[in-house]
Amino acid sequence: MKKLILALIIAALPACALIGPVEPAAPIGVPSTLPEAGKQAQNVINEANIGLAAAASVIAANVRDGIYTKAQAQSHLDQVRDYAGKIDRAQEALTLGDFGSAQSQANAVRSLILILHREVAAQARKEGAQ
Amino acid sequence: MNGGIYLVVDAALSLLAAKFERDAIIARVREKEAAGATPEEITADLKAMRDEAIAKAQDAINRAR
Repeated sequence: MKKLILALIIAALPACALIGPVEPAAPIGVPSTLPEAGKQAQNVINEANIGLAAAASVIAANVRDGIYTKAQAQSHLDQVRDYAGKIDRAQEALTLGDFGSAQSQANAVRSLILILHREVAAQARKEGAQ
Repeated sequence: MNGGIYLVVDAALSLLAAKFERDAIIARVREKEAAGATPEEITADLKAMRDEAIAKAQDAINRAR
């Protein structure tokens, strides 16, 4: 049993590294007609939406499995909603042609999403200890 | 001791689950790209997937005891 658990932990280590800087191999859903700043902003916005969808799915799984209490899951999901709203505002700025603002807003939220992913995992760890 | 191991496993599995979810979304998007979806459609799809995942999570929370 211990060997299995250790194997799972070892298997998870590269995943932890991958979850850090979330960059796919190629940009997703970025129009080639946008200027470079717009392309970068759209890429970060799309990545952020992927990260938020993944976080929401993990929160759902953790509350279903009893790893989170209802209140903890709701707190994390409220954070996801808050960041989603911020990403929507970055998308609006991009649509209006304010690429610099869109990029800075999206980059700020991306950093918060990385922290959220770690908090979601840390909460699971804390709950496991109780 | 075993409790310590399990709590580490819970955290590691949460991170793994997030990675799998992310990879699954990217795979779906790549399929749509290959099928000819425009970047604007992909962007709209990603927002819709995000909102759907949030709605499902809220549903799971509401059902939890």
